[in-house]
Amino acid sequence: MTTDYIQQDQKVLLDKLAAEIADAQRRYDASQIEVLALTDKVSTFQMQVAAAEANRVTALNNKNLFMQLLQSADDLNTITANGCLQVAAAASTSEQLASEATDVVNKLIYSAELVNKLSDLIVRQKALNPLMSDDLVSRVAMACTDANNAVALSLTALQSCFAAQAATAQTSSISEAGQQRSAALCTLLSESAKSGLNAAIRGAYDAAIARYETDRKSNETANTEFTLAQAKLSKAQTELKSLQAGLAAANAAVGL
Amino acid sequence: MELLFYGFLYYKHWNWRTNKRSVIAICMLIDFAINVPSLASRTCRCTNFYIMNSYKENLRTGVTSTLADIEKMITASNASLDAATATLRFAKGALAQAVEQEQKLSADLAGKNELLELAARACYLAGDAMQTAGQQKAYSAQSASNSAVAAANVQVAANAVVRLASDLGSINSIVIADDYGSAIAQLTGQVYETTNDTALSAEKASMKAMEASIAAAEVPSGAIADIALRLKNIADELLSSIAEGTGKTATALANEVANRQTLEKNVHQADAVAKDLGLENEAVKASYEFTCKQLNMGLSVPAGQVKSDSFTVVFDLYRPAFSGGESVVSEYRIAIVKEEKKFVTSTSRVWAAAQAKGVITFSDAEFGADVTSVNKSIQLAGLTDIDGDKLFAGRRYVVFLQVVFTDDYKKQINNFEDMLSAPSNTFSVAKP
Repeated sequence: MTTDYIQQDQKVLLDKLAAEIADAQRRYDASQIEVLALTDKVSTFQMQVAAAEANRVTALNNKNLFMQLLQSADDLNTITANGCLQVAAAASTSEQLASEATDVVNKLIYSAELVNKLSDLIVRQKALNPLMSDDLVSRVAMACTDANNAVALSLTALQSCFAAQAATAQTSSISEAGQQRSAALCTLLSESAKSGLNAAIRGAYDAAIARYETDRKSNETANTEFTLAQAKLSKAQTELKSLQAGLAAANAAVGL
Repeated sequence: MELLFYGFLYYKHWNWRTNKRSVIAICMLIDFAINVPSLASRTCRCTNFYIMNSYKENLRTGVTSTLADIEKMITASNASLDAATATLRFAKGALAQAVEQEQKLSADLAGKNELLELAARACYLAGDAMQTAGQQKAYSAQSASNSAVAAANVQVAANAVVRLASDLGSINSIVIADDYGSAIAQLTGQVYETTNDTALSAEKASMKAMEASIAAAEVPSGAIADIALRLKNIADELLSSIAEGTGKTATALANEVANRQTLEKNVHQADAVAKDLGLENEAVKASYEFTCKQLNMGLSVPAGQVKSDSFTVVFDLYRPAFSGGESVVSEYRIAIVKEEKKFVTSTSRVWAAAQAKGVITFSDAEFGADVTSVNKSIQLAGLTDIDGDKLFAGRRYVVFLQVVFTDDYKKQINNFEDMLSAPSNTFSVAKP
């Protein structure tokens, strides 16, 4: 009867071990499935975080570039406006010059004609009155030459004055066009309307930061889950191995 | 008995399954028939082995063994089902993430495309501004150069005019000194005045020419062109950066779509596997119930009714095969046994426990003659298992039902052993 009970107790022990092994195996399998799934999840999340980080850097870079762009557009607008005023002043001066030069030429031509007339008169008087000063005659001849020369030079000057005026007027009109364009660009960049580039750039930056934060948190959570699952798997594995070793020892002991 | 058993199984499967599933059911049934040896042969084998025991004891051993085999199948099936369910759950989780990510990327891409268009427009405008500034620079240089030439020419002309005026000054002096007649004197005076006036104008024009030249040179066209170029470069850089980001997002979206499709397929497959295993699980559980009902007096502890302070034992009352109507049972005993001891629990152990008040006893007289099945709620307070240990939460137990026959009946069948059931299903007491 005693032997019978001992044998029964051995069977109880073996059955218990076998049941525990089955249970541990089940926990181990479940943990393994979880760890595998979480491995995928963690790697996916890591990639997402890396992408979100790159996206955030790009968005920040874009925002900075945009600020530079805005600053440059503002600079251009200011300097173009100033330039425009200066060109307008230059054009006005150039016009005045052209007008004054015309006046000079007109006066000079009149004076030159009078000089020629005086010269004729003195030459005729010299023929009537040989005592007339030779110096006067030669000086009048010189004056005629100088008058011719002056007229020729003045005409050249007049021509170049008009050329200058034309070039300056062209500069003035193109400068006005440039001013309008830079002002339009400035308005486009600085407008704070929701549909504008300004708002879009800032919105993209804020969204990139928010997404990075979300992805980073998800990744952290997934990592924690993964670590826990791994610990669970490792524990289940240890338990399983220990139980298996126990069963092997027990089987050997009862001679199975 | 055997025919009835398989017939019942077949009937149940036929009802549950659609045409497609019935094939699986039949396969299962064949499988079951192979794996679980027939009760007849099992009983026969046991009879050989336990030749010294009573017939009832032999039957009990067979039933215990059959139930244990089905329980093993249930355990294996539960494990497979759990694994499949977990796989399905994780696959669904992964799919949900992928769908969410796809939506995020899709929204992101839409925003980036819009941004790209806006940036492109800004870039065009910057390009226009740069082109105009370049033209202005060229015109401005021409204007400065022309103005400088004009200033020089006007200066030279003014010098010539001054020289003429000086000639006339000398002539006028000579004419005034020598009296050559009124005509010459008058004309000389007139010419002297007009040339002087012209010389003054020429000097003024020369001054103006200098001013014009300075003004034309001072226009900051070079600086304007430089800033416009910088502006264009920044706009280009911004546009290319945004375009690159948009491209990356588009690629990521395409990858995510492919990923989502793969995950959808995975979920579909995992779902199919879990469904099949679920059906197998139901079938094997049904066969356990059926076997239990037929061979083990329907003894069970329904999992749903296990609480922290009580649990319920369900069983069918004993009815002898040939009965004249009066009860042959004096009392029923419910023994609670640790699960690992379920194969070594015997009538004698339960008897010993009954002496030590380690079992729950109630008389057959409690139940009316028309009652066939009993739901017995058992309070945990002060309760022990047959080893005399208190029950505690988390540990697994089974119950045994012992049927104590009336002395008359024992004499009638000439067997003074009481009947002990096979172990019930396993249960754990809930934590309070």
